[in-house]
Order: sequence, then structure tokens, then C-alpha cells
Amino acid sequence: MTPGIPGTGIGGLFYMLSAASLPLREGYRRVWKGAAAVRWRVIALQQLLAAGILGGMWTTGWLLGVLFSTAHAHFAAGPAGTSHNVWRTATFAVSLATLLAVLGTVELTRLWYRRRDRLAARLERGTPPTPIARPRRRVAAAGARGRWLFVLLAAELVSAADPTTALSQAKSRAAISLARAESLYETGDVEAAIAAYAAVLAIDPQNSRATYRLADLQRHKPARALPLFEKYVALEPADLWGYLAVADMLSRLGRNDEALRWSAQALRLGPTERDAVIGQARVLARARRSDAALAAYRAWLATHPRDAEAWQELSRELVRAGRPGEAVDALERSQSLAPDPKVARRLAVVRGVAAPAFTPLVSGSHDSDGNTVWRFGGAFELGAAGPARLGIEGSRTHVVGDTLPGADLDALALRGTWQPVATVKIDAAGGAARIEPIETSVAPVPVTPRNGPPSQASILRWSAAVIPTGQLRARWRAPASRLGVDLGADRGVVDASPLLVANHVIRTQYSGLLSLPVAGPFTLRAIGKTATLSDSFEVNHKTTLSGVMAVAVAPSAELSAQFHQIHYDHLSGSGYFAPWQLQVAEAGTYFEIETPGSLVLAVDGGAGVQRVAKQRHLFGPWTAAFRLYAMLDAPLAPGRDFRLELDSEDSQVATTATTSGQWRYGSVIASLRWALP
Amino acid sequence: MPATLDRDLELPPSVERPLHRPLTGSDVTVIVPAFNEAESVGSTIRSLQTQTAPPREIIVVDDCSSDGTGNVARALGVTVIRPPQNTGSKAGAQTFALRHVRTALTVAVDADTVLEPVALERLLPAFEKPGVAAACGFVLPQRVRSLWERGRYVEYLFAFTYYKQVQECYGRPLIASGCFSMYRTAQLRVHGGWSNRTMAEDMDLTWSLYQGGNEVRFVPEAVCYPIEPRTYKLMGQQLRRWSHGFIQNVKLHWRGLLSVPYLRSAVAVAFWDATVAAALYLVLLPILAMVLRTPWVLLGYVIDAPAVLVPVVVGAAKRREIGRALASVPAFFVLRTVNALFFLRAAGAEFLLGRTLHVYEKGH
Repeated sequence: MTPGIPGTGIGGLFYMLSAASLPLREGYRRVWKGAAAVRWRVIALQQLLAAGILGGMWTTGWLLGVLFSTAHAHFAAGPAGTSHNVWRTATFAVSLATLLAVLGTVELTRLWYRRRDRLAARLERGTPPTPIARPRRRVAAAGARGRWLFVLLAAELVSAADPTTALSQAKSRAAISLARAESLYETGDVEAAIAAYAAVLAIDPQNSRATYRLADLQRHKPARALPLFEKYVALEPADLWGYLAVADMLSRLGRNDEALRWSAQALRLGPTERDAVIGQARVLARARRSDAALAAYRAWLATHPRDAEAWQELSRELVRAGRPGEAVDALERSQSLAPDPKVARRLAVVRGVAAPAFTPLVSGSHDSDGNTVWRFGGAFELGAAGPARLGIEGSRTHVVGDTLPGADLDALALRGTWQPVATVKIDAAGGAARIEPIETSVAPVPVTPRNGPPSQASILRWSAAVIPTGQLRARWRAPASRLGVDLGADRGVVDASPLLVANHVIRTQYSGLLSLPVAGPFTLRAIGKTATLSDSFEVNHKTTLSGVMAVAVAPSAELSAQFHQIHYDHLSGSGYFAPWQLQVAEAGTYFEIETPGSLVLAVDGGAGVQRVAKQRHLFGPWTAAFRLYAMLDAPLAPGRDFRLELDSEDSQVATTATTSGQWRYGSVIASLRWALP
Repeated sequence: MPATLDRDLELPPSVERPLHRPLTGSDVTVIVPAFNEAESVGSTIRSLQTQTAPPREIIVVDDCSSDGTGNVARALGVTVIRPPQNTGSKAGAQTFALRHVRTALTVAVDADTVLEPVALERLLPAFEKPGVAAACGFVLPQRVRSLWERGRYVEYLFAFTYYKQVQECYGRPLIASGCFSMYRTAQLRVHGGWSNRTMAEDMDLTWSLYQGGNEVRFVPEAVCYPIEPRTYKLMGQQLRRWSHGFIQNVKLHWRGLLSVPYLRSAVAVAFWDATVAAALYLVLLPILAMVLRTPWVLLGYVIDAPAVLVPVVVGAAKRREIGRALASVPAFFVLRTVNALFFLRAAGAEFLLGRTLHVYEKGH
């Protein structure tokens, strides 16, 4: 159906103006509202059509002008020769004026009824209408609009003379609509219920029940639900569930401080109300304030030990706080109160995490200098006991390269983890590495001695040796913040090539990382490392300084701009590349994805440029630098997790030591954590 | 390990990602209301069965036909339901079938309409956006032979290439055409299906959806071909129904439409053109010709021909039907004049005389 007289009338003009203003509209929507624009191709076509129609109209006018002139000249019967321009202009002006009059009438009518509806709504709530205060100068400047407003106001007063009818009509319509909406809500037809509650609010915008229900049905869209819940709180300020709902939405949006304020307000309204107590614990948990959340859950469970759901939530926070053993106890309490298959599955998983476990591991790596490293090993960890966990790990490493037949390295260490509170975690390991003696008749390799020109030097050591190794790492993360400190110290054998192993190059490194939230999603990280690379021939120092500006683009994803600078004191003859300075500037990304089946994929990648200044040389040209780390963690069964890690790079930043200035590297690690029954 | 950030990967935070299944034909039920449509319903059903996104179920509502419509449909293997008595309107038949729909989406297709094989598939993506409650496609006459069919052909080419595209750009197609539209079933149920309170149930439903905060989309790539009236009598029946339906809907919805941006302007403009402009069009030009004593004024009836031709030719060019479109243009001006007459009569009857059309008179 095409109402009216398609092509002519003011409809043609209306759609032509509509088409002409489309680019402005879409530009405005895209820039100011962030809305996805309609297809620009369609808009362009409509622009062409509008232009074509304008051209057609002009052609018609021109042809008519010619026709009239000819007719007038020959027959003196047509309109005057020059009048066609007048007709054309007048017709267009009349059409435009008519269109504006029609559209203006619609807008005025709309304004009139909108004000009437607001008045009726206020009357329905029993509050007197409040005069709208307008700046005096605006009314004065408005001129004619002011007179219109006066007319509208008078009409409004007349129409408000009998508000009872409007009131009862609005009430009955709203009640009927609400009943229909409630019915749909009960049937579980979410989509229909949303539409129905929206319809109720269209009739009665202040209906608190419809407001809450509409928001509740859209909890999965926090940005949409939040203003509705806020409106509900304004309508029903004594209802603590409104505050809880607002807190929940804010929490989902990552606005944790605001969420905590709202949940605290709910708790003030109902300090013994279960939903208020548990609601605040949930907000705390989502804000990563695990210790406070644990305290809240424990306080509640101390007086309500039969709350199975609270036990489940407590267990989740205990796992997060590094106490899987206690989490198992909490889940077992929950199961004893209310057996649930889902909880049973969760319990099996957590038991697997808490149980003693054996983790065999195999890895292989290869670099562009022809070095290949194979590692076979395993770890055994005892069952979790409170905040601490102990284990032992061992491995045999076989390193093959171009210059030597191969070197072997055995390592054994005791490992412990201690997490006294959720925000602090300390890892420590201590042990030894035994380097096997190398038997070879390979000729001495070139060695560059300290501060001197390259010369021939023999390989330093071929004998076996036992070297003490160790690691210590302490991490602290502020609750509900990205502020954090990560300190570490470690000592180990550098095993990137047979030569390095044969030379017994040992690295002792101290590192520190400060993570500082700057503003919004931005975090600044400052990283410093100082390492001593020593063997019996020489001692070298390596210093690393890094700055990272990261922006969180999603809860588990971030982008970053990074700059790293590495400095070696002097050249080395032990088999690793020791430039005077190395600089890397790169863009990085990090994200984690977890599927509903708990398959986890984590990727850390970077791409940028690097430049190297060899000892006593200027910087060389910038060249490309890439790195990629990916980890896939696949749970095979409760207590059995397969992990695959891939690492690849051609940047010297991340490695303990590289063997040349043009170094590329790739490695694969596969491990299987097998919890013992 | 990661280059610079030795992250704690032991407990990655879970990412809330809703599972999403693309909509397919299995989410669709097609309702075909049919009253004495034995001649055409077979083609309609076959065009539905050969869709690239075949619907889960095709329900033909045999509205107590006497020409064996139900048997034709049944022979083609579709579900045929028959109300206890004639529902009296297309809206009634469609609403009768709605209770049998078990899918998220419902398509209404007239029994004299065939679809392009990809029509359903093209409409489905519109519903990936949650707020969309209805979507309609491009309409073109199945047969273009008689004067009236040709006039309608040009009218549709013009309206669907130009007016409706602009409306779509503003997110407010004026109407989800009754001959072929897809709806979200839940929304249909909220509104009680198709109402027979007006003679234009599709316009009524479309405007109700807008007022409920829903979106309606126009998808020009989804093309359908209804059989248009081939005689003046049939055309008159259809135009009478449509014109009254439009006026009735304006009377029914004008208050609610005030809150729907752009649509309120489009409807106001259409209403002006259907009433005041139609009166001027039909009356003023002859009077002027008589007063000025020159027949040249009557050129006003076709003065916009070049402007009309632009979208028509563009629309026809896409279909490689320029010759047919140009040959049909004169018929358009005849139909437009008749159209204006019917709308003027309807406005007079509904507004001035208070004679509301209640009886659904089947044309095409």
C-alpha cells in the first residue's frame, strides 16, 4: 500500500529532503551516539536518486517553459512566456511551506500531548505539578515560541481541568497491561514479557513494578538494566533489593567502588537480610576483594550453617584465594545439605586441584643458530594443606648444537607455594643442577674476551659440575585494583646452547615489576631486572628496563604499548650475545578465553621494532621484532589437565640469553597434570 | 612464558560470552491464510518448499474455502488447519493459526504470493538484533499484463526503490507488507496476533510494534511476487480496503504514533497527501483549467513524470526490466488518479460521514 498520491504531493518533497539529510544523520549517529550506521551504499544510492529526481523536476520545468513559450508565441493560448518560472518557484515554495506546516503541526501536537501525559502521571502519583523553571532569557529569545508555549500552557490547563478521567483511564490501562505482562513473565516468555513491561511503562512511566521487572529481565545487559534499576530505587527508596540490583549491575560493568557503596546501602537497610549479606559478598568477590568476601561468607555461615548456596560461593572464593583444600570442605558441606549434580561435578574438579598430583612434561625448542633443546621431566606436588603447598620437580635436558655434539643437564628442586592471604602469593624453589661432562675433540671456538678484540680461546670447562639453583617470587596485588608488585630472584644454568652449558654459564637475576593503575582502564607497568651472568672466566652484567602502558579492553583482554631496553656491561666469550644496548618498541596484546567446557586459551603477542648497538658501536637500523606465546589448557577429566604451550620470538627481550644478534626461536611444551586419587 | 608479563594463569577469569546460534529456517513457521485460493496456493507452497532456508512448518489456513484449497495444500504435504467457521478476514485466519506456531519466528505469506528462493534466508539476519520484531521484503506484481497490474508494477518499483529505502534508513518502514513479512512470534503473541479492528491488519500490527518499542526492518533483497488485481473491479475492492484501512489506522494510532520519531512525520505527510492533496489533485487542476481556459494546466497530472521515472528506472534496471517499466509508466498515472479518488472517498466516509468499513471484501 502506498497511501496518497505517490510521486507528487508533499510526500515526494518529504522523502527527497529525508534522503538528502541522510548523510548528516548517519554522521551524527556514528560520531555522537556511536551507533552503527546503515549501509553507506544505500545512502549513496538514495542521494543519487534524490539528485536524479531534482534533475527530473528541473528538466520538467525547463521543458514546460519551452512549451509554454512556444505555445504563447504561436497561439497566444498558453500561459505567459515568462510565467513558468514564477509557477515553478511558487509551486515549490507552496509545497515546502505546506510540508513544514504539516510537520510543525505534528511536532506541536506531540509536545502538547507529552506535557499532558506528564501532568496526568504526576496527578496519578498524587504530587502537584511542578512548574518547569526556564531561563528567562531563553524564553525572551524564543519570541514566537514563547507565545506558542503560552497557548500550549493554556490548553494544558484547560485539559487538566478534569484530571479524574485521565487518571482513571491511565490506571486501568496500566493495570491491564501490567496483568498481561505479569502473565507472560510467569510463563517464562522473556522476550514477550520484556515487550509487555515496556508497554506498561509507555502508559505509566512511574510504575515501579514494571520498572523492576523490565530491568530484571535484562540483567544480562547491565548497561541497559542499570538506569532502570536506578529509576526503581528512586521510586522505591526503602526497598533494599533495588540497591542490590544496582550494585549487581555496577559490579558487572566493572564499577566496583560504586557497586560496593550501593551494596553497603542495602546492607544498612537490611543488616540481617540474607540477600543483602550475600549480595555484598558477591560484589566483593567480583571486585577481587577475596579476603573481604571470604570474611563476609564466613560471618554469614557462622550463623547460618545450613545455607548450601553460601557454602558453594565460599568454596569458589577459597579456590581463588589459593586454598583448594578448604574449598573441598566447603563444597562437601554444601553437598551434604543439598545434593546437586552440578555441585558434585564442581567438587570433583576442586578435589582434583587439591589432591596430590604428578605432572609429566616434555618440551622441545629450536633456534635459528641450530641449537635444539629437549627436556623431559616431571613434578610431584603434595595435596593442598591450608595456604601452603609443597612439591618436587626434576628434569633432564639435552642440548644439541652445531659446534658441540651435545650437552646434558639434570635438575632437581623442592618447590613450595604459600598464599597467606588472597592478595599475597610467594613461590620458592631450591635445588641443584648437575652438568654432565662433555667428551669431544672439537676444536676451540672463537671467543671474544672482555674489552679486547676477538681472538681464539679454548672452551672453558668440560668437566661435570653440580650447581645450586633456586627461585623466589613474591607477588602482591591490591584488592579491587590493578595496583601490584611482583618481586623475584632466581639462579639457574643458562642452557640455550651446548656451548653455554659446557661453559657453565650461570644466571643470577633479581627482578621487580610495579603495576600502577593510571586512569580508567589504563595501567602503567615499570619493570626492572638486573642479572649477573657468570662462569669461571668472566662475569657480565645485564640490566633490563621496561615500560608498558596497557589498556584493558575487556575483563580478560588488554592491548599495550611497550618499550624495553637491555644493556650488557661488556662482550662475552662464553657463547651468548651481549650487545652494548638493545631497544625494542612494540605493540602487544594479551587475552584469555575460557569456554563453557573450561578450555582455556591464553595468548600474549607483540610486534614492533628493535635495534641493537654492539659494544663500542652505534645503534644499527630498526628491524622487525615479533613474539608470541600461547597456552592451551584442556581439562580431560576432573584432576587431569593437559596443557600445551607454544613460544616463538625473534626479539631478544624475553630470553635469558641469546646466542647471536639475529636470533629466532620456537618452543613447544606439553604437560599433563594427573591428580592422584 | 610471556615476554614481560609473567601472568598468573592458574585461575583465568571466566569470560561471559553468550552462546549464539544463527537463525535458520528451522526457526520459522509460515502461515498461509487462504480463502478460495485453489488456483494460486500451490505455487505459493512450492515456492516456500524450495526456499534455501526451508521453514520448519508451513501452515495453510483453509478459511472454510469451497474450491478445494485445503485439498490442494494437503496434497503438497503441508499442515492444513481449518477453523470451525470462516474467520471473516485474513487477519482472523492468520491469528487462528498463530496458536499452532512453535518457532521463534513466524512468516505470513498470502496464498497468491510466491517468494524468490532466497527470500526467507535474506530476512533471517534482520532478527539477529533482539529489538527487531518484524521484517518485510521487496514486493513486485507476479503478473504485469493489464493496465492495473502495470500501474501497480510501477507504483511498487517507485515505492520500494525510493520511499521504503529512505524509511529503512531512518529505521521506520511505514508498513511490513501483509503479503510477505516475518515476525518474532513472541511479539505477535503480545499483540494478540493480527487484529481485524482495521481493514489493514499489516499496518495496524506494524504501528503497534513501533509503539511497543520494537524495530521493523525492510530487506530489499527478499523479494516476493503477489498476484495483483487485474481488473478495475478487483482493484477497486483492494483500494477500498486499503484506503479505509489507512484512515482507520490513523484514527486508531495517531496518539501513539506521536512518540515514534520519523514515523509520525511520514504518516502525517501520507495522510495529508491521501486527503488534502488528493482533493486538490482531483479537483483543483480541472477547476484551474476551466478558470484559466487552458488545457495546459492538466499537464499537472503528469508533470512529475521525469521525477517518478528516476527511481522506477533505477529499480527496473537492477531487474533488467527497463522496457517493461517504461511501457507501464502511463498506467501508473491512471492508477494514481484512481488511488487518490479512493483515498479521498475513504477519508470522507470515515471522517465526515462516520461510515467505517467493517466487512473484509476479498479482492487480491
